[in-house]
Amino acid sequence: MTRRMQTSREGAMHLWFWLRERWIRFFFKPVGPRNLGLCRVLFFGVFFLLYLPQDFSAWAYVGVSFFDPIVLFEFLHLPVLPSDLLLVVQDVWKVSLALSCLGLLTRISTMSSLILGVYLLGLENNFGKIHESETLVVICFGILALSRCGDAYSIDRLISRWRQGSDLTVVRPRMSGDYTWPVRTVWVVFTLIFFAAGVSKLRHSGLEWIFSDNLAISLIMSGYHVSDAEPLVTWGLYIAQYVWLTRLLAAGSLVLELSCPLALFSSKARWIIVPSILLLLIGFRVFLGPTFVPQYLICSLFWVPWDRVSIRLVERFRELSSRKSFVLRSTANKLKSTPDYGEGSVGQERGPEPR
Amino acid sequence: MTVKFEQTAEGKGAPQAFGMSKPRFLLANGIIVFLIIGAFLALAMDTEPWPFSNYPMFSYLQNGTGRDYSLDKAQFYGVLQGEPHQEIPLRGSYIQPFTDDRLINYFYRIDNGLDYRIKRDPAERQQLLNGAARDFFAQYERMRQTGRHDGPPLQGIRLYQQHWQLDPRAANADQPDYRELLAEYEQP
Repeated sequence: MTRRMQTSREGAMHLWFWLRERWIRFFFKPVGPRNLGLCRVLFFGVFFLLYLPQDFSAWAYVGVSFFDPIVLFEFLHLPVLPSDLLLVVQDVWKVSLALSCLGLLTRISTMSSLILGVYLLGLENNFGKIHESETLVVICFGILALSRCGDAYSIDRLISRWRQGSDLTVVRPRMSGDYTWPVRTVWVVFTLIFFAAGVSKLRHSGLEWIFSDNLAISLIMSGYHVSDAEPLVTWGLYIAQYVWLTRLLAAGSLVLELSCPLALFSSKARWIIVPSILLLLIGFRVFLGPTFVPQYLICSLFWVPWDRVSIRLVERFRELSSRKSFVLRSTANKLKSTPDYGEGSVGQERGPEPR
Repeated sequence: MTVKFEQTAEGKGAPQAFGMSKPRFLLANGIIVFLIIGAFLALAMDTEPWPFSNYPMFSYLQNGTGRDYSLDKAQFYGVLQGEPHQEIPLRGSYIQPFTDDRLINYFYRIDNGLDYRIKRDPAERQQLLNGAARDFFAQYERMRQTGRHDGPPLQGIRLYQQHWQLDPRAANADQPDYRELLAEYEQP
C-alpha cells in the first residue's frame, strides 16, 4: 500500500516537473529583444492609424436611459466624461499610441495607452451591447505595458546608446525570457478567445448550430440591417440558398474554433489553424457584416516571427542591391571599354545593327 | 533550444537562467495565470466581464430556426417637422455613436426582460422605452446641432417593433410586414 502511494507520489512529482518545464520552455525560452520590439512598432502603429479618425466624445451626448454599466465601470465608479474632456482624453491616448509605436518614453506611453484605452474602448460597451472586438486589443495593451517591449527598435534605445557613447562596460539587451512571454501570452489569449467562441456555440445551440438552417438564416438576416455594418458583398444571400453548403461552413467554423488551442502545441497545426482563423474572420466581415475583424487581424501579427522576417527582407534587399550594383559596374566597365563611348552604345552591345 | 529549469547555476528554479530577475519572472507568471484564469472563468460562468468574455457572437440560434424565417427588431423613426409629419428611418450616421446592432440588442433586452432595471420592477418597461425615445431625440438633435450628421430637424421620435417574414433575397428589408409602436416622444 505504502509502496503504491510512493509510486503514485513519484508519478505526480514527475508530471509536475514535466509540466513546469514545458510551461517555462513555452513562455520563457530566452530570445533577443528584436521580435517583441517589432511587434510593438507594428501593433501600436497600426492601431494608431485605425483609431486616429475615431471620435469617442459623441458618447457624452447619449442619454442616461441607455447607460447600463459593465462590471469594470461599475466597480471603479467610472463616469461618462463630458464631451470636451473626452476629446482631451482621446487626444492624449492617440499621442500615447504614437509614442508607444516610436518607443519614446515607452514605459509611460504604453501604460498610458493601456489605462486610457481601457476607459475609451470600454466606454461604448456601457450602452446597449458588449462588443468583443476590443477585448484582445486591451489585453495586448496590458501585456505590452508590463513587458520590456522598448528594448529594441525604439527611440529610448537610441537615446540610451547615445548617452552611453563608447562606454564598453554598459550591457546591451541580451537574450531573455522577458522577450518571449509577452508574445506567447498573446498567442494563448488569442486561441482561448476562439476556443471560447466555439464552446459558446455548443453550449447555447448544441449541434443544431451546424445541422439546422441557422447559418442560412444569419446570412439572409445580414441583408436586414442587423449588424454594426453592412456585409461587403451580397453573395451571402446566394450561399444561403444551399443549406448543405451553409451546414458545411458552420461545421468547418466550429471545428476550427474548437481546435484553435492546438496552434499552441504544434508548429504544423499553427501554419494551418492561424491562417484559417484569419480567413474565417474575413469571411464574417465579407458575408455577415460585423466590424470586429480588423482588431483581430492586427492582433494576429504576434504570430509572425518579425525578427526572422526582417532579417530575410534585409538579406534579400542586400542581395538585390549588390546584384544591381554588379550589373551597373559591369555595364559601366563595358561602356568604358567601348571605343564609341556615348549615347546608343548600350543598344549596340545588345547585338549587331540590322543591315 | 532546450531550457532545463532545474540545471541552473543559481540553484533550483532560478529565473536568472532566462535572463530575468525573480520579481519580473513572478510578475510575468502572475499575468499569464491571471489572463488564463480570467478567460476560463468567463467561459465557465457564461458571462462577459469585459475585457474577458464568453464570446457569444453568433452562438445563439437565430429566431425562427427550424420553424419559420422571421425577424423582429426595434427601429427608431424620426418625425419630420412641418405637415404632414413624415417619418424617416434613423440609421447610419443619424444614430451615431450607436450602431444598428447595439440598439437592436438594447431593446431586445428590454423586450425579453433581460435588462437589470426591469428585473427589479417589470412595470417600468414602458417608462424605460419612453425614456429611451426622449433621450434618443435629445441625442439626435445635439449631434445635428454640433454638425456630426446632416439629418433634418425633427419634431419627434417614434420607436417601433418591426416584423418581417424573411425574403431569400432580402428584397423587403426596408418594408416590414407589420410594426407596433413601442414608444413615442414629441418635443413640446
